[in-house]
Amino acid sequence: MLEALNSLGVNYKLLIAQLVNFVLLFIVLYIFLYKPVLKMLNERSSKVDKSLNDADKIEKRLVEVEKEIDQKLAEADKKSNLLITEAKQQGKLIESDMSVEAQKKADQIVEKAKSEIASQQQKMLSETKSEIAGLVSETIRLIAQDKTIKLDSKMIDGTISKIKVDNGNVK
Amino acid sequence: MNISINAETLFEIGGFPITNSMLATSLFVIILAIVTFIGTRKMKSHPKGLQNALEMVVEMIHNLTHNIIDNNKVAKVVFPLIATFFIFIIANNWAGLIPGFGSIGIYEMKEGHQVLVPLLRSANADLNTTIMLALVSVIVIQVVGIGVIGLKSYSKKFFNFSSPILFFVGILELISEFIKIISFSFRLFGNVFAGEVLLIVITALVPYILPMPFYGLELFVGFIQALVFMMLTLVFIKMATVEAH
Repeated sequence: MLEALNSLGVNYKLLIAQLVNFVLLFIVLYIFLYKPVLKMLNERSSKVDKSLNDADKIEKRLVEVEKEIDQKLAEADKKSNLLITEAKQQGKLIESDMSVEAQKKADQIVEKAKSEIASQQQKMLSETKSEIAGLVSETIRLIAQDKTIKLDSKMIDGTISKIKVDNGNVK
Repeated sequence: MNISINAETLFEIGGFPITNSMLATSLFVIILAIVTFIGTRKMKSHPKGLQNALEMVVEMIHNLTHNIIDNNKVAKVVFPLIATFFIFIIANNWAGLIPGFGSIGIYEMKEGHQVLVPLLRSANADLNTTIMLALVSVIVIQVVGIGVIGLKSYSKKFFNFSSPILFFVGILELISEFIKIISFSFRLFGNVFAGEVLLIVITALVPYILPMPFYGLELFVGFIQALVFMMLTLVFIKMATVEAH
């Protein structure tokens, strides 16, 4: 057996030498290859796991946020509807109040205008009457000064005063 | 044309023979150390180039080990050895195909003839290397088996006195453990050595073009042999960690 192995070049010294080479390679690869690469692979896989977990969390949060947004939108919709109806009601109330007041004011203005017109009318009438009386007395005076017409001055003054008295009554 | 089944001794240091296969193995240990050092010197989370290739190899072997062993603790322990088997064997198999391996050497007089002694020879074309690999593999299989299921349970596989049939099966199992050393070492040696001889013969017959497909074939054989050695070790480790029924 040993002879056969020797004839095939098997030598325990060479065997040990190759074992040393193999062990050296094992150590070299362990330090420079397996350790850093496995570390990197583990880091990468943990990163991937973390990213996937984060993605799951983000997805869940997104669903929650979407729900919250929908809820808030619905609430806002309700509130806005409520506000609109309230505003409409208030608007109606204000509208009716304002129309009543406007009517009042308009009535007041009309009343005031009417009274002013009436007082103006009275004033104008009295002024016209006094003017007319003046004119009449003047006319009579002029007529009385005319020599062709002889009138009693007492009668004239009496007439004038009568007219004045009439005017005063008219007032 | 000189074909030698033994690795040739180039010189001796203090009575210790230095063979061409040993020189090639040492050279490739240094080259692999440099390559891995450069590739993993500045590790980046987004790998490129050499780092990417190294990561791919390590990840492939790592996944294969974990899938076959199916026990994280054991797989973690044996992974560096399994990966070193694969890298050592494939690197040396493919190294033998590099021009200059087996063709650059020193002319020496042997038995009255002038023969070329190559400076470099593929490590696996030397039985010393393949027997060493087989011994390491078989010893590790036993150690892991004992470590996982215990010495008592493990020895029950080989020495079972509960029935004559099981006793006989145990003896066969024991013999098969020794046969593993022979099958591991001679399979690898035979394939690599035969490949080298094939290439030498083909190149001597038709030096141009014709050897090319054979080089392709040898590349494939080199990969397959590394894979077979690694896979068989893994399967035997897995079998050793299962208790006998």
